[in-house]
Order: sequence, then structure tokens, then C-alpha cells
Amino acid sequence: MSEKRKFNIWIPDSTAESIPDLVDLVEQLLYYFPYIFKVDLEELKKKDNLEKELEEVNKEFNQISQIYGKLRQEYGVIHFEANELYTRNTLTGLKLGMLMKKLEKAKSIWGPKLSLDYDSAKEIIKHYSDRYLLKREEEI
Amino acid sequence: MSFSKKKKYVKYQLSYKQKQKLFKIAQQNNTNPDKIVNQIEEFLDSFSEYDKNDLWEKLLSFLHLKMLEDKTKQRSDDIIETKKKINQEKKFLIEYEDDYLTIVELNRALESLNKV
Repeated sequence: MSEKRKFNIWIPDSTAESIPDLVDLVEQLLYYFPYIFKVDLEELKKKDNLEKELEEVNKEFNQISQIYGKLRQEYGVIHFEANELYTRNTLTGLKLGMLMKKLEKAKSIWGPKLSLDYDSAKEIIKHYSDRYLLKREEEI
Repeated sequence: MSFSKKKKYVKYQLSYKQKQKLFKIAQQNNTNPDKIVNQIEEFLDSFSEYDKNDLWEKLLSFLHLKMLEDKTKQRSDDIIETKKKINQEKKFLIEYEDDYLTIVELNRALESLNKV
């Protein structure tokens, strides 16, 4: 990016004469740059109450922005809740894993005296730890 | 300059701040600063013949109108997108809640067994 380079805009004489503040004009044209391609002189000529139209569109924009703001807020709350629940599930899942290990140990000591269905318990734990721990990896 | 030879032009040199802005626009629009300057010059040129007292004022209002319309449309799209995201998040929340209840129940069962 050439910091020293100068940029000039050649403004038609007649335009320069009729405009009191060229700095402001250039500033505005830069600001509205993407929209200059949408200007059609014929359409512009037909617009005789631009102020009123601007007022209406502005009102509509404000209304829609308000709705958008509320929705973003709603999203923020629900996203936070879901996230919190997700973290809680992950932690509880980890705790389950540790409990399962203890039970494995207990089983080796007490064996048949424990009437737990190990296989299905293990399956359930695996399901949840996969669901939460793998998901977490995906997210990272 | 490739404009009409009959017309006269005034040279306007961009200020430092305007130059910065120009670079930024070029980046945003994936083009180069010279092209933007050319496009603005062409724009000014195409309207120079229609000099009327309030033309430029009207033109700037018109540009503002176009921008607002564009932003309004963008916002409507954002609203649809956010609604979609909210529904998805709601779905997740219900799933997580279901999971949570199952996990808690299992936890309780295991803990009571652990005490044996």
C-alpha cells in the first residue's frame, strides 16, 4: 500500500462551481460508493418527494432493527442456556465414567453379589461420553 | 483521464483520511483504489450535464435512500437467519435437557450402587 502516493479526482468544472463544499462531496461519494451504481437519472428525476420517502424507509429500518435486536437477544439467552447444559452434561458424563471405573473395581472384588447389568450401563455411558466428548473435540 | 476534451475539470486531491477510506473501500470491494477513483470520476462526469440547483442534494439523498433500502433488506435476511439459529438452538436445548435427565438418573443409580 503506497502511503506516499497521491490520489486525485477530476471533478467537472460545472459541478465544482455549483457545489459549495467539495471536501464534503468527495467524502459522501466515498461513503456511498457501492450505491453510486444504483443511481439512474430517469428514476432520480421522477423522485419529487425524496424527503418523505427517506423518512418512511428510515422508519421501516428502525422497526426492523428493533426486531432484529430482540431476536439477537433471544438467541443470546438460549445459546447461553444450551451451552451451559452442554457443559454440565459433559461434566456429569465424565463423573459417570469415573464411577463406572470404581464399579469395575467393585465387580472384581464382589463379583456376582452385585446385580448390575454392566454391559448395558457401559453402553449408555459410552453413548453419552462419545456424544459430549467427541462433540467437544469437533467444536475445538 | 479519458473524458470529454471539451469539458474542463478541477483537480481535487484526496486528503490523508480520504485516502485511507479509499484503500478500505478498495479492500472491501475487492478492487484497487485507481478503479474506484475512475468510477467516481465517471459518476461525476455523467451527472455534470444535468446541473441544476438541487441536483447534488437530491442525488445524495437518493444515495442515502438506496443505502437504507439495502440495509433494511440485509436486516430482514439477518432476521430470517437468526430465527433459524434460534430454532436450532431450541432443538439442542431440548436434546440436552433429555440427555441431562438420563445422565442424572444413571448417575444416581450408579452412586447408590457404589455405596453397597
